[in-house]
Amino acid sequence: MTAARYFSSFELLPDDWARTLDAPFWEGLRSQRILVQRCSVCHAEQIPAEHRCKTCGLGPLGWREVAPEGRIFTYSVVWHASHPMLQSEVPYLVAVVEVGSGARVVGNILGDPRQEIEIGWPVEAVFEEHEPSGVTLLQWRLTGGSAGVRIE
Amino acid sequence: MSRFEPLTLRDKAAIIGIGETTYYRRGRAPVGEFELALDAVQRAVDDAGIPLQRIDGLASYSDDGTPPVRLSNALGIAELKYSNMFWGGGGGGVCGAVGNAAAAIAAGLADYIVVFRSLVQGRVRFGAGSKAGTHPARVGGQLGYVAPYGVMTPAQTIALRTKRFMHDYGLGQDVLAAIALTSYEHAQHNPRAVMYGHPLTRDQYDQSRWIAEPFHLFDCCQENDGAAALVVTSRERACDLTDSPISILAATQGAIRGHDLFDHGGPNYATANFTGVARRLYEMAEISPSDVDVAQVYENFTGGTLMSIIEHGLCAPDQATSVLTPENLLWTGGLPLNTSGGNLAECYMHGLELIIEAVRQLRGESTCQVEDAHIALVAGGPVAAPVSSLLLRT
Repeated sequence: MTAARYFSSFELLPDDWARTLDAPFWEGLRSQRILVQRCSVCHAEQIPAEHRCKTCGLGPLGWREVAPEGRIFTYSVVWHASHPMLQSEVPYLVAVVEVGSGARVVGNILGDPRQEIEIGWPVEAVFEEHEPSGVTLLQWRLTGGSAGVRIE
Repeated sequence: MSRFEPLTLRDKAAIIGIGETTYYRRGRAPVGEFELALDAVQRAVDDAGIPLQRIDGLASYSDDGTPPVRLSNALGIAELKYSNMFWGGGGGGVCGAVGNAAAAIAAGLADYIVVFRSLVQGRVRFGAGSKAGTHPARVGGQLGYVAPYGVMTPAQTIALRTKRFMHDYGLGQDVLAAIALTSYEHAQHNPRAVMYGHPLTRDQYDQSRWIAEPFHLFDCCQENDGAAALVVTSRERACDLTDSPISILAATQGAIRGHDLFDHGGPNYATANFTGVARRLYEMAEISPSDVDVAQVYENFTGGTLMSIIEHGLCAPDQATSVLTPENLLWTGGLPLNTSGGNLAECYMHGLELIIEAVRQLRGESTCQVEDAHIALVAGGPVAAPVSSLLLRT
């Protein structure tokens, strides 16, 4: 699903990735797909992309699509604006979400930044389009709203 | 069988002098960074009891802005034989700068090396991440994966890791508060500390504004102006010069695979990146963590300090709640920590003030003197790798 932007005025986007190692991830988001690197040797999955596997140090690495869902790995409510454009946005909620078989992405959790949230709760992906920049960011929503099923 | 002795840095070098300027709140230094550096180096050399002209090497870290040849000329050094900047890691490199100086001494590259750091904060506050410019603003590299979501500072990125660490080991806010309260309590005995005369209670800690949960304001290091310096020489020369040479028992630096400050996708997540550095530190020193009498553990944020304490084996994670208490972390307690006030309450001199306090403890000159202190641990900036640590001994 796509959504209106998490931040109402702050907008900071990744640099042009067209010729970098990261291209498949950002291109994937534009088609509402989540792609992560997968090591051909140890099968660990990772994002951001790298030239070698961060788990075993070897390679080569391929790319694999993972389901648009995950679990909260950690989170923080940010109160201090670290950028002038964030002054009107605090507090906001950031989380690290575990997707696929272990890759992790950083994103915001839609809704009230003070909503009830716990490590381990399931989330579903929300694709946030930024036009005319041609960038899609990956956001999240607690599955089932604030009454998300908790699995430790 | 090899004809050569195994290579080690153990006990090859010693610290013979320490010096620091007055520590100021951010923006209050009356002179610039260069003048502060000169001041600190002069004090360290005076403390060492050697003439300034005997210095023949310079070492620093965290991309210190002091131009080395200008400093060398301003100090009247006849010939510079060693010039080294620890690569990366910010404050993570503070102990590595001393280690690099010790290695140069051991290899005979120079005889008296000054390790220093000078900081005048200027107009950019900590926690003020990327710059604006084009619209929308763009950011590259690893930050491109996190900054669009409002994650762009060490406070935020370390808060995320700390939260996970606390979850993994069942730890609550009490252990973070204990680290903050300890630094502030020790600072009340230290007239040099910026927070001297400004005690912190648990209520004040709890009421202070959130920066990024679980970090309150008082979980975060200060922003300060000042400079600090040490003089390092060989252990032999140190024994000739002083009755109390402080020997560098071990110095290690580095990073484990699969972890980087802003990369939240690596296999090693809730770590200060000290597991390898700490293991090699105790191996080099041929001691165990229980031999440490006093610990100076860098606080960029209390969460980083927490992970660092545990990764240096000072406390088992399942005992953290009972060991990391304000009472036990005092200089009179079982795990004396940050005994001059640390980065949180003495001064954020990127950790060099922690090494100076470790030297004072081993000389018996601390404002919160631990009884029978013979081995001191100093851990450099956690989470921002490469990191580094030191063991000093009498």
